[in-house]
Amino acid sequence: MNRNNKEFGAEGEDHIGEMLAALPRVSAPADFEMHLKARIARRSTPSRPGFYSALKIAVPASLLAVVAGFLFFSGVVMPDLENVVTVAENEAASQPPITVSEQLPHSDFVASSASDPPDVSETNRAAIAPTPSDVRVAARSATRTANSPRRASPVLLTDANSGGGSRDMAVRVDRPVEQNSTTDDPPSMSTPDKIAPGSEPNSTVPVTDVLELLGVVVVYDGGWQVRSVDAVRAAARSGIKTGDVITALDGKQIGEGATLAAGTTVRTMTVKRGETSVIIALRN
Amino acid sequence: MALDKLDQLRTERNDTGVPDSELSDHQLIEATKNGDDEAFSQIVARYRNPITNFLYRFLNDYEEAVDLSQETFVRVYFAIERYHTGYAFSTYIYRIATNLAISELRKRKRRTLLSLTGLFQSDPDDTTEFQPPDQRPLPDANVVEDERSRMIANAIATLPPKYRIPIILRDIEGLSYDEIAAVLELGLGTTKSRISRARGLLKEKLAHYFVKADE
Repeated sequence: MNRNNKEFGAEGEDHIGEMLAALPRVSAPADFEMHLKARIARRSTPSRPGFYSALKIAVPASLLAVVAGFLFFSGVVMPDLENVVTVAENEAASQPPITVSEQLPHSDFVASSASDPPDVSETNRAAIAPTPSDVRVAARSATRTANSPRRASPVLLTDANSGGGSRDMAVRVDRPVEQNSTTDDPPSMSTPDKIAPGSEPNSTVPVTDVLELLGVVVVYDGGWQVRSVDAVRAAARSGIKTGDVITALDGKQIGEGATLAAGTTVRTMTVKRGETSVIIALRN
Repeated sequence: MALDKLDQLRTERNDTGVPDSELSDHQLIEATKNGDDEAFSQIVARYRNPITNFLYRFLNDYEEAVDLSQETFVRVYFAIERYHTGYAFSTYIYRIATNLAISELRKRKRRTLLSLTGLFQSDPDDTTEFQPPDQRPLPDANVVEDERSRMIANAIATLPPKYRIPIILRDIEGLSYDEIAAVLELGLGTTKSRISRARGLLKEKLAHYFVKADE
């Protein structure tokens, strides 16, 4: 032990080096090279793409697809109005047209084709209950105020063909709406009494009804100001928003009391939003 | 093409009569680049013990040292095409071993942090004093020497890596200051300073031990 104390005297630091150099050296094991060659051989062999390596790609891709699908269907990535405007002209040509027309609330239940006569009795109407969506539209019509620019006759959307399809498509007028109805008429489901006798192929439809078919409730205030937008109709899908002012359909100015010919195809809607006026292609 | 070069190289070696063991490191590297596995075996034979010893003194774990030593040669083998003969091969291989050892220390530290039992273990890199020695009388000189070696090894293991590496390379592996500076990619002055500092730290640790033991 005295030797140890001596080592850590004034020359202790030098002795540290000597002590370290005197440490016994360890050697690699005898099978060092064999294991080394085996390790090199393993690294040299390219690993085959196995199940787990496929999962590394498949799992993230699946998750990405699920998230993208969710965002798409939830409407998060729906184009906004500005985007629609930029492509409005091109889309107008590519979109299937929206045919604006009217049909009596009960006629879709008894007539499977547009050419069927609207010979509907109360019994028939009672026997066939309207769908919830029809009721909803009718109820909304019934809540109109007396000074609403809409005509008293309620307008219901009906499927053009019993085989299916979008509700906004291929709805047509079998009978013209009674134009002489007063705004004091109680809002109710249309009956044959309120239908003008005789079908006229060149009859007209009030622009408010046309706009409602497209899914907007409007009031006239120097232009057709949108009060509400039906989220499932063409207007909402096309980007129309509450507060927009609709000034023209297919480039044709629509003033108060304007009408469109039954069967008119509407492709675009001119909308004034703030100070900007844009043309929006309608989407089915 | 590579086989042709290999045959040519072997022919030249046979012509000159120089065995593999007498070729320089760079010549062996060139031969390995040309596909001569025997040349690489010669490199392994030349450096496996120094590298294993260096890693053992650094990690204080023989199994880990052997594993990392093999990994060092694997790295050398697969990167041999990128090796330039501008500096000594010994510097190159010690640098690889050093980097692997430092990575291993980091892994250990992470494992210690993640381990529940690690909450009660001391950090292997901390500089706290180790336990005082067993004060029972030692039976013979061999045991004393073993105890002395173990104590020094433990003292080295308590040094921070930045001091541990240069002092091992200098005082155990016998590299020059220039070689150590090249391995650590440090300036010569910094290298010398760290070695001196490491010796001072070891002196303090071991002096404490021996004073305790002497009392």
